[in-house]
Amino acid sequence: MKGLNVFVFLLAFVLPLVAAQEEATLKIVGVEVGTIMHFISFAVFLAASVMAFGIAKKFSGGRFASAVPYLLLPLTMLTGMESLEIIGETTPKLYGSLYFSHSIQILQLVAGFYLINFLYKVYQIKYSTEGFIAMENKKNGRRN
Amino acid sequence: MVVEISGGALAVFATLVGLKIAVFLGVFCLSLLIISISKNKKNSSQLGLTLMSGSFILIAVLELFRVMELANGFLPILANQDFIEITVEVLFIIGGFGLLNYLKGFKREG
Repeated sequence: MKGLNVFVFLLAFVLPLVAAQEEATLKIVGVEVGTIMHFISFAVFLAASVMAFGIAKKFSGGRFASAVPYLLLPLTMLTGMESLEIIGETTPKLYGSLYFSHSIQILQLVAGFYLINFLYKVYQIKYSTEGFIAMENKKNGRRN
Repeated sequence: MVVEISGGALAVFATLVGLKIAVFLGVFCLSLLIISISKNKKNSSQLGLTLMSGSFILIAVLELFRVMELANGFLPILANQDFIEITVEVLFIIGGFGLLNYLKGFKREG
């Protein structure tokens, strides 16, 4: 994971600066940088959704059970969105159409809404009820 | 009555809503990070929250530049559309990576 962190940070600092210098379309080994980016983000979101499915398996029936759907949905949507972007890159006519780009944006927006919802649910369960649950547990003689 | 919305207006609207979501996500992650730090819980989810909040706030700033068209003459480097596109994409990847880190910590410790 640490090696991957370093790689992502290098990517974050080097590529935009190179893009700012270049006049023509930026390419690495004959492939456009945008396409490479879409592949990387697809891999990242795929890994995140696999982890989310693991979380769903682990926390099913527990106190975080109500937050799990709000995690699975946006991650699946974002993975789908990235795969659509990759399909769009290979077919320029589709990528140029307004409907396609707006539907991708709407997917991203809905995923963002659900992600905010997930974080809020986690906040509610983990932090805002913490005092109350601790108090109840203390009253009932249980540990947190 | 037929209401027509031009493509440009729709694009600006979608970018504005995206901007708001990026701001909300960024601020929410930041507040969760602050709460997590104040509880003195040291885990990998803090790194994830830091990455998420930073990248989403930066995306919001860049989207703001794009919407207000401040790029012309504001900062010469921002005049290059490729720069903004690639930076937003890289920030999006970093945000996803932060989410991955956060989920890793979340899975381990709940």
